[in-house]
This record gives sequence, C-alpha cells and structure tokens, in this order.
Amino acid sequence: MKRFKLALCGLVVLLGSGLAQAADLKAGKATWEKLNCASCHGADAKSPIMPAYPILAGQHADFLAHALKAYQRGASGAPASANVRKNAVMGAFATQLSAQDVANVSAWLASQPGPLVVRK
Amino acid sequence: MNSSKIMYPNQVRNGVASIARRPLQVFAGIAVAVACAFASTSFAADPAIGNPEAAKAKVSMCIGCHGIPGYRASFPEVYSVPMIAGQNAEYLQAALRAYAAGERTHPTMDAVAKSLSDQDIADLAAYYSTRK
Repeated sequence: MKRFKLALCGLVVLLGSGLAQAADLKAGKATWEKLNCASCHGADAKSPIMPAYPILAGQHADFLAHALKAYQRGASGAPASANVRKNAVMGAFATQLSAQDVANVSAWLASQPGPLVVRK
Repeated sequence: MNSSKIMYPNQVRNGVASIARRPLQVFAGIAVAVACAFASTSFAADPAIGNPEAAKAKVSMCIGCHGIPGYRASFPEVYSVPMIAGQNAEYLQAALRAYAAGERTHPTMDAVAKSLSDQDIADLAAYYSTRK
C-alpha cells in the first residue's frame, strides 16, 4: 500500500511537471489581458457581457485550445471538412495567437473557477 | 374572391371624397395596418421558450458524448468534448444554430443540430444551463 501511494505521488508529480512544461499559466493570463478578452467574456471569464457568449472559466483546456484553432482555421479559409469556426470577432483574435499562446491561455482559463460540469 | 374589391359606384365616389377629406383617419388606418404587420412578424420571430422538463426526452443524442467524464473527440486534434452543463442557455442556442448554419463545422454536431427544431434547441439549452 505504501509503495502504491508512493507510485501515485510520483505519477502526480510527473503529470504536473508535464502540464507545466506544455503551458505557462502566467503567460496565459498575460495573453488574456493583452487581447482584452475580458471586455466580452468578463473579468472572471464566467460573466460574459452578453449571455450569447460562452462561460470559459473551468472549461477543458484542450477544448478551449481546439476552439481557438478552429477559429484560426475558419479565418484562414480552410474547408468545412477541416472542422472550422467562422466568426469575424473571434477569428480576428485567434489569428493573433501562436500555438504556444493558445496552449497558455487555454490552460489559464481552465484553471479558473467556473460553474461548468459534466452532467447527463 | 376578394370581397374588399367589390365597390358600388356611389361608394367609390363617397370613398374617394372621404379619403380626401379625412387624411388623419387614413393615416391612422395605415398605421394600424403597419403595426399589425410588424406584430405578426415579431410573433413569428419570437424565440421559443425553453422547457427543461421537455428536454429530458431529447437528451439522448447529447449524453453519449457530453455526459461521459473524460470523453474525447479526435479530429483534427484530440480534445475533450466541452462541458455544457452550467453553460449560458443563450450561448448553447447560439452554438447549435451555428452548427446548423455551417458557421461551425463538426460532422456529429452538424447532424445533431440540423435535426433539432427551434423548440428542441430552446429546451436543451434551458436544460443544460440549469444542470449544475
């Protein structure tokens, strides 16, 4: 049992370090502030100025990254079969982000407290 | 046959004369007609009111992905399907409409969204937004 706990701790540390390498939360927050995302999505990323805009705080990081990439694909004129999102505003913001920016801002948003849950 | 087109000679004469004499009433008549036209238009465009209870019979297409912890999609990058419970109802509606309109593309979500009526979309959005 002790060995199992030790292994579990090791695994958690490994996973933690892996995530920290992949995304920089501080840089993610800086990207969020630089593009003034809060002006639509709200300062806490869960109180958007219009209810037609999504709550981002606490959403899965890999989904947020996927959405930003889909906006980039949509803005670059990729075909519908490439999984795109066409939106003038989000397309204009997403195309300013590097792959690292996308990873960082997505990780930072996912780390924020929010009301989203997995429920049937 | 349109009965409003039937006019006897004396009525035509009186009618034209009375229109000339009563511009205010004519204006009022036109205003009412226009108001009615707009009223019926806005009624038709009124968004459906979502009923979370009704959605319970409609979530079968959602739960197979969005109701399973850790469920992932794989194209063109691997990613977790989004958490939709607790999301804004209006946003959920906007997202489904964007899939149906082709502004967002995803083979599964396109098909699901196109199969939903406005009422279905409103019901599902009301359901998931209140499912916290």
